[in-house]
Amino acid sequence: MKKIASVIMFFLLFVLFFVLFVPKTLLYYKSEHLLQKEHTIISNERLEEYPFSLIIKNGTLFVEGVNIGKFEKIEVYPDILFNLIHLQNFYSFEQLAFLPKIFIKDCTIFYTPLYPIKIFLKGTTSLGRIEGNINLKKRTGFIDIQTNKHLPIPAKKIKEGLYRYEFRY
Amino acid sequence: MNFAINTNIIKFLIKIAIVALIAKITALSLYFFLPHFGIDMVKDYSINLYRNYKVAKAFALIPSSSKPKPTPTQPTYKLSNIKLKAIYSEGEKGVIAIEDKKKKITILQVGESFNGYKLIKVTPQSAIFEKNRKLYEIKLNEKELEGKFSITKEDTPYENLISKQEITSYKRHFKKIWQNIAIDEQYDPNTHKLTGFKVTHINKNSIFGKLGLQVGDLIIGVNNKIFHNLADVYKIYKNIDKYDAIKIMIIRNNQRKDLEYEIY
Repeated sequence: MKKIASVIMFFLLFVLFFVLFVPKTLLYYKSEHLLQKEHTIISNERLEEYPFSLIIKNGTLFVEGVNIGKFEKIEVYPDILFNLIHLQNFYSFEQLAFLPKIFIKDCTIFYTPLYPIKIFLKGTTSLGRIEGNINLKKRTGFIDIQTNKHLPIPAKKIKEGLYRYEFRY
Repeated sequence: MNFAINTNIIKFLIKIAIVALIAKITALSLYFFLPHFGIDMVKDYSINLYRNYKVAKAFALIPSSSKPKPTPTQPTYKLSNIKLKAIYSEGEKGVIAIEDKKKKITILQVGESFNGYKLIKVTPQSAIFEKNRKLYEIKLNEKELEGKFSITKEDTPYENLISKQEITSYKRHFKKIWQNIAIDEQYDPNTHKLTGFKVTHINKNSIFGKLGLQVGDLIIGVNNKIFHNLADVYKIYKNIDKYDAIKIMIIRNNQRKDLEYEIY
C-alpha cells in the first residue's frame, strides 16, 4: 500500500514538473497547426508564458477564412490530468450579417483524460448563461442557453427560459 | 538519530530531483517535435473575372462612347477538344485560359491564334474563335455542376440592372438585407458540407424580389463560384460593391437557373 502511495505521489510530482517545464508556447503553436486543418486560425494574438499557464491576448478568430470575432484574453492551463481554457470577452464580428452577434463575457472549457469522451463548457454570454458539452466520439455537441431573449440561432426549447443549441462537426 | 533523518530527507530530495530531471528531459524532447512558429491569417487575393465587364453598355442600355461589337450572325460550332478555364474581359480586350487534352494551359488574348483557331471575341461565358470563315465557341467549364443539373434560361422578365448605390447601401446597412430576405443554410446530410442557401422568405417589393429570387430557391453560387462554405459567401459579400455584373446560380424545382444582372 505504501509503495502504491509512493508511486502515485511521484507520478503527481512528475506531472507537476512536466507542466512546469513543458514549452507551452510551442504546444500552442502545435494546436494552431491542428486547428488550421479544421480551417480555424487565431491571428494577431500576443502570447505570454507563465510556469503553469499560457495567456493569449487580443486574438482574432477566423473560421474558413471568415473573421468570426475578437477576444481579449484566453488563459490556458495545460496539464496531463486537468486541462482548462478560460476565455474572456469574445466579441463576434459585427459586419458578419449571416452569423449571430454574440458577446461571450467568459467561458470555461474543461477537459480531463480521465473522462476522455467529453469536453465540458460553461459561461456567460450576451444571450444568458450557457452550459454544454462536446462529445468527441460522436462529434456532436450541445449548448444549453438560459435566456428570455429572442435567440438569433436555431435552438430547441427545453422548458421556459431554457433552450438547447445542438451542433455537429 | 538526526543523521538518519537527514539521510532520509536527502534520499527523498534526490528522488524528487530525479523526477524533476526526467520531467525536464521529457519536456525538452518536445522541442524537437513541436513547431516553432504559429499561424496567422494571410490576406486572400483573387481575380474578379466579372470586373469591368459592361454588358449594359454592349446592349446600349447605358450610353457608351464606344460602339458595341456586332454579334456574329454565322452559325457557331462547338469546340470540344479544349476546355475554357478562365475569362478576363475589359471592353474589347479579352484574355482567356484554355486547357488542351494534355492538360496544358495556354493563355490567349483577342487576336491571337491557337492551332489555327483565331480568338475573335470573349464573352462572360464563352470565347469565340474563327477558322476558315467559321465560328467556333467554347464555354466556360463549370466542372462542379456538370451532369448535376441542366441549365435553363430565366423565362420571367425581371430587372436585370441593379444600381451600385443600392448595393452599397445594402452593404453598409446589412440589417436591411435580413428585413427583406431570409435564407437558411443547407448541408449535405452525408458529407455535412454546405450545399447552398435556401430562400425561406422574400419581400417581393425589395431588390431581392425584383431580381427574381423566389421562396424555395436554393442559391448555390455566385459568378461561377460554387459556395462550399460561409467563407465563399463572405468573400462575395465583402467585394460585392466591386463587381460590375453578377450571376446568381440557383436551383429551382430541381433545375439549375442563372439569374444575371449588371451593376451600373
